Amino acid sequence: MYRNQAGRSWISKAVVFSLSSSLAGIATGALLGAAGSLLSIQFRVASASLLAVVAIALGAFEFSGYHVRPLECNRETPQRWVHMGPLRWALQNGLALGCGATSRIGFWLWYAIPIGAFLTGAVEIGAAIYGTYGVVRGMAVWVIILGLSRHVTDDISLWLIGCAEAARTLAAGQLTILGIAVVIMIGL
Amino acid sequence: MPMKQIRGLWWIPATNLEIFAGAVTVGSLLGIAVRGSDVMTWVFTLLLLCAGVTAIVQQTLP
Repeated sequence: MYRNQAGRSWISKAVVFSLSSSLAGIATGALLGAAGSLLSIQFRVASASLLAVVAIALGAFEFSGYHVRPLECNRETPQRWVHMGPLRWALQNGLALGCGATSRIGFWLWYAIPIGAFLTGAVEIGAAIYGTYGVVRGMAVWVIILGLSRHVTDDISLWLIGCAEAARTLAAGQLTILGIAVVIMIGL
Repeated sequence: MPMKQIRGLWWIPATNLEIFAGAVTVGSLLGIAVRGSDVMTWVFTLLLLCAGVTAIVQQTLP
Protein backbone atom coordinates (compact mmCIF):
# COMPACT_ATOMS: atom_id res chain seq x y z
CA MET A 1 0.00 0.00 0.00
CA TYR A 2 1.34 3.43 -0.92
CA ARG A 3 1.82 6.07 1.73
CA ASN A 4 -1.48 7.74 2.77
CA GLN A 5 -3.37 5.71 0.19
CA ALA A 6 -5.87 4.49 2.77
CA GLY A 7 -6.45 8.02 4.08
CA ARG A 8 -7.16 9.45 0.64
CA SER A 9 -9.42 6.56 -0.16
CA TRP A 10 -11.54 7.06 2.93
CA ILE A 11 -11.77 10.81 2.38
CA SER A 12 -12.87 10.49 -1.25
CA LYS A 13 -15.42 7.81 -0.34
CA ALA A 14 -16.76 9.97 2.48
CA VAL A 15 -17.06 13.00 0.18
CA VAL A 16 -18.95 10.98 -2.45
CA PHE A 17 -21.17 9.43 0.23
CA SER A 18 -22.02 12.80 1.81
CA LEU A 19 -22.73 14.50 -1.50
CA SER A 20 -24.88 11.68 -2.87
CA SER A 21 -26.81 11.38 0.39
CA SER A 22 -27.51 15.13 0.37
CA LEU A 23 -28.50 15.05 -3.30
CA ALA A 24 -30.85 12.10 -2.75
CA GLY A 25 -32.58 13.89 0.13
CA ILE A 26 -32.97 17.18 -1.73
CA ALA A 27 -34.23 15.52 -4.93
CA THR A 28 -36.67 13.24 -3.12
CA GLY A 29 -38.03 16.13 -1.08
CA ALA A 30 -38.43 18.34 -4.13
CA LEU A 31 -40.34 15.58 -5.93
CA LEU A 32 -42.58 14.98 -2.93
CA GLY A 33 -43.23 18.70 -2.56
CA ALA A 34 -44.14 18.94 -6.25
CA ALA A 35 -46.45 15.92 -5.96
CA GLY A 36 -48.11 17.40 -2.88
CA SER A 37 -48.82 20.64 -4.71
CA LEU A 38 -51.14 18.70 -7.01
CA LEU A 39 -53.53 18.13 -4.09
CA SER A 40 -55.85 20.76 -2.68
CA ILE A 41 -54.87 22.60 0.49
CA GLN A 42 -58.05 21.33 2.21
CA PHE A 43 -57.09 17.72 1.56
CA ARG A 44 -53.55 18.29 2.80
CA VAL A 45 -54.75 20.03 5.98
CA ALA A 46 -57.27 17.25 6.70
CA SER A 47 -54.59 14.59 6.13
CA ALA A 48 -52.14 16.46 8.35
CA SER A 49 -54.68 16.66 11.19
CA LEU A 50 -55.41 12.93 11.05
CA LEU A 51 -51.73 12.00 10.82
CA ALA A 52 -50.90 14.33 13.71
CA VAL A 53 -53.24 12.35 15.95
CA VAL A 54 -51.60 9.12 14.76
CA ALA A 55 -48.17 10.65 15.50
CA ILE A 56 -49.20 11.58 19.05
CA ALA A 57 -50.55 8.06 19.66
CA LEU A 58 -47.45 6.34 18.25
CA GLY A 59 -45.14 8.67 20.13
CA ALA A 60 -47.00 8.01 23.38
CA PHE A 61 -46.86 4.23 22.84
CA GLU A 62 -43.12 4.33 22.20
CA PHE A 63 -42.54 6.70 25.08
CA SER A 64 -44.29 4.36 27.47
CA GLY A 65 -42.12 1.43 26.42
CA TYR A 66 -44.35 -0.32 23.87
CA HIS A 67 -42.33 -0.68 20.70
CA VAL A 68 -44.55 -0.50 17.62
CA ARG A 69 -42.51 -1.83 14.71
CA PRO A 70 -42.51 0.64 11.80
CA LEU A 71 -43.49 -0.33 8.28
CA GLU A 72 -40.15 -0.79 6.58
CA CYS A 73 -37.91 -2.87 4.34
CA ASN A 74 -35.98 -4.36 7.25
CA ARG A 75 -32.65 -4.77 5.48
CA GLU A 76 -29.28 -3.14 4.99
CA THR A 77 -28.08 -1.83 1.66
CA PRO A 78 -27.06 -4.75 -0.61
CA GLN A 79 -23.67 -6.30 0.19
CA ARG A 80 -22.95 -6.82 -3.53
CA TRP A 81 -22.45 -3.05 -3.90
CA VAL A 82 -19.12 -3.50 -2.13
CA HIS A 83 -17.82 -5.24 -5.27
CA MET A 84 -18.71 -2.36 -7.58
CA GLY A 85 -15.68 -0.28 -6.63
CA PRO A 86 -15.21 2.06 -3.67
CA LEU A 87 -16.60 5.23 -5.21
CA ARG A 88 -19.61 3.59 -6.82
CA TRP A 89 -20.28 1.78 -3.51
CA ALA A 90 -20.15 5.12 -1.68
CA LEU A 91 -22.36 6.74 -4.32
CA GLN A 92 -25.04 4.03 -4.19
CA ASN A 93 -24.95 3.82 -0.41
CA GLY A 94 -25.29 7.60 -0.18
CA LEU A 95 -28.21 7.69 -2.58
CA ALA A 96 -29.97 4.84 -0.75
CA LEU A 97 -29.42 6.19 2.76
CA GLY A 98 -30.13 9.82 1.81
CA CYS A 99 -33.53 8.68 0.59
CA GLY A 100 -33.88 6.15 3.41
CA ALA A 101 -37.01 4.38 2.21
CA THR A 102 -35.37 1.30 0.73
CA SER A 103 -33.44 0.19 3.80
CA ARG A 104 -34.05 -0.22 7.53
CA ILE A 105 -35.98 2.76 8.92
CA GLY A 106 -36.22 1.80 12.57
CA PHE A 107 -38.15 4.82 13.86
CA TRP A 108 -41.67 6.06 13.17
CA LEU A 109 -40.25 9.56 13.26
CA TRP A 110 -38.76 8.92 9.81
CA TYR A 111 -42.25 9.04 8.29
CA ALA A 112 -42.58 12.69 9.33
CA ILE A 113 -39.99 13.56 6.67
CA PRO A 114 -41.63 12.26 3.45
CA ILE A 115 -45.12 13.02 4.73
CA GLY A 116 -44.10 16.51 5.84
CA ALA A 117 -42.36 17.22 2.51
CA PHE A 118 -45.41 15.95 0.64
CA LEU A 119 -48.07 17.78 2.66
CA THR A 120 -46.32 21.15 2.54
CA GLY A 121 -46.95 21.05 -1.21
CA ALA A 122 -43.96 23.24 -2.09
CA VAL A 123 -40.87 22.10 -3.95
CA GLU A 124 -38.41 24.27 -1.99
CA ILE A 125 -39.83 23.41 1.42
CA GLY A 126 -39.98 19.71 0.59
CA ALA A 127 -36.38 19.87 -0.58
CA ALA A 128 -35.35 21.70 2.61
CA ILE A 129 -37.04 19.14 4.90
CA TYR A 130 -35.88 15.98 3.15
CA GLY A 131 -32.57 17.62 2.25
CA THR A 132 -31.87 18.22 5.93
CA TYR A 133 -32.29 14.50 6.50
CA GLY A 134 -29.99 13.62 3.60
CA VAL A 135 -27.34 16.15 4.61
CA VAL A 136 -27.29 15.12 8.28
CA ARG A 137 -27.22 11.43 7.41
CA GLY A 138 -24.46 12.02 4.89
CA MET A 139 -22.40 14.09 7.33
CA ALA A 140 -22.53 11.41 10.04
CA VAL A 141 -19.69 9.63 8.29
CA TRP A 142 -17.38 12.57 9.08
CA VAL A 143 -18.22 12.40 12.77
CA ILE A 144 -17.41 8.69 12.72
CA ILE A 145 -14.14 9.26 10.84
CA LEU A 146 -13.15 12.05 13.26
CA GLY A 147 -14.08 9.85 16.19
CA LEU A 148 -11.97 6.98 14.87
CA SER A 149 -9.03 9.24 14.08
CA ARG A 150 -9.11 10.65 17.61
CA HIS A 151 -9.61 7.24 19.23
CA VAL A 152 -12.94 8.21 20.78
CA THR A 153 -13.74 4.57 21.30
CA ASP A 154 -12.41 1.21 20.17
CA ASP A 155 -15.60 0.29 18.35
CA ILE A 156 -17.81 3.22 17.46
CA SER A 157 -20.51 1.04 15.92
CA LEU A 158 -20.94 -0.87 19.20
CA TRP A 159 -21.08 2.41 21.08
CA LEU A 160 -23.80 3.70 18.72
CA ILE A 161 -25.85 0.51 19.06
CA GLY A 162 -25.54 0.94 22.82
CA CYS A 163 -27.31 4.30 22.48
CA ALA A 164 -30.34 2.71 20.79
CA GLU A 165 -32.67 3.01 23.77
CA ALA A 166 -31.87 6.69 24.29
CA ALA A 167 -32.38 7.26 20.56
CA ARG A 168 -35.78 5.56 20.73
CA THR A 169 -36.86 7.81 23.59
CA LEU A 170 -35.61 10.90 21.76
CA ALA A 171 -37.42 9.95 18.55
CA ALA A 172 -40.65 9.16 20.39
CA GLY A 173 -40.54 12.52 22.18
CA GLN A 174 -39.88 14.35 18.94
CA LEU A 175 -42.76 12.56 17.19
CA THR A 176 -45.15 13.47 20.00
CA ILE A 177 -44.08 17.12 19.98
CA LEU A 178 -44.53 17.30 16.21
CA GLY A 179 -48.02 15.79 16.43
CA ILE A 180 -49.07 18.23 19.17
CA ALA A 181 -47.64 21.19 17.24
CA VAL A 182 -49.54 20.26 14.07
CA VAL A 183 -52.79 19.82 16.02
CA ILE A 184 -52.29 23.24 17.61
CA MET A 185 -51.44 24.86 14.28
CA ILE A 186 -54.49 23.44 12.54
CA GLY A 187 -56.64 24.50 15.48
CA LEU A 188 -55.43 28.11 15.25
CA MET B 1 -22.85 8.97 28.51
CA PRO B 2 -19.11 9.40 27.92
CA MET B 3 -16.80 11.53 25.81
CA LYS B 4 -17.75 15.13 26.02
CA GLN B 5 -14.41 16.51 25.05
CA ILE B 6 -11.73 14.85 23.00
CA ARG B 7 -8.26 16.30 23.56
CA GLY B 8 -9.82 19.73 23.91
CA LEU B 9 -10.45 19.96 20.18
CA TRP B 10 -14.07 19.11 19.60
CA TRP B 11 -17.16 18.27 21.53
CA ILE B 12 -19.89 15.67 21.25
CA PRO B 13 -23.32 16.31 22.80
CA ALA B 14 -23.25 13.95 25.74
CA THR B 15 -26.88 13.76 26.79
CA ASN B 16 -30.21 13.54 25.01
CA LEU B 17 -31.07 16.96 26.36
CA GLU B 18 -27.96 18.50 24.81
CA ILE B 19 -28.64 16.84 21.47
CA PHE B 20 -32.23 18.05 21.61
CA ALA B 21 -31.30 21.59 22.63
CA GLY B 22 -28.69 21.84 19.89
CA ALA B 23 -31.08 20.53 17.26
CA VAL B 24 -33.82 22.93 18.39
CA THR B 25 -31.44 25.86 18.13
CA VAL B 26 -30.17 24.94 14.67
CA GLY B 27 -33.66 24.07 13.46
CA SER B 28 -35.12 27.31 14.79
CA LEU B 29 -32.47 29.42 13.12
CA LEU B 30 -32.94 27.58 9.83
CA GLY B 31 -36.71 27.87 10.07
CA ILE B 32 -36.70 31.57 10.83
CA ALA B 33 -34.12 32.22 8.11
CA VAL B 34 -36.24 30.48 5.51
CA ARG B 35 -39.80 31.27 6.56
CA GLY B 36 -39.89 34.24 8.94
CA SER B 37 -41.53 33.80 12.33
CA ASP B 38 -45.23 33.00 11.75
CA VAL B 39 -47.05 29.91 13.08
CA MET B 40 -46.17 27.87 10.00
CA THR B 41 -42.52 28.60 10.69
CA TRP B 42 -42.61 26.55 13.83
CA VAL B 43 -44.10 23.52 12.13
CA PHE B 44 -41.53 23.88 9.37
CA THR B 45 -38.84 24.21 12.02
CA LEU B 46 -40.10 21.10 13.78
CA LEU B 47 -40.07 19.18 10.50
CA LEU B 48 -36.46 20.25 9.90
CA LEU B 49 -35.70 19.18 13.42
CA CYS B 50 -37.41 15.83 12.87
CA ALA B 51 -35.31 15.31 9.75
CA GLY B 52 -32.08 16.03 11.61
CA VAL B 53 -33.02 13.98 14.66
CA THR B 54 -34.11 11.03 12.52
CA ALA B 55 -30.82 11.02 10.63
CA ILE B 56 -28.95 11.07 13.95
CA VAL B 57 -30.96 8.39 15.76
CA GLN B 58 -30.79 6.11 12.72
CA GLN B 59 -27.04 5.87 13.30
CA THR B 60 -27.89 3.62 16.24
CA LEU B 61 -29.54 1.04 13.99
CA PRO B 62 -27.58 -2.22 13.74
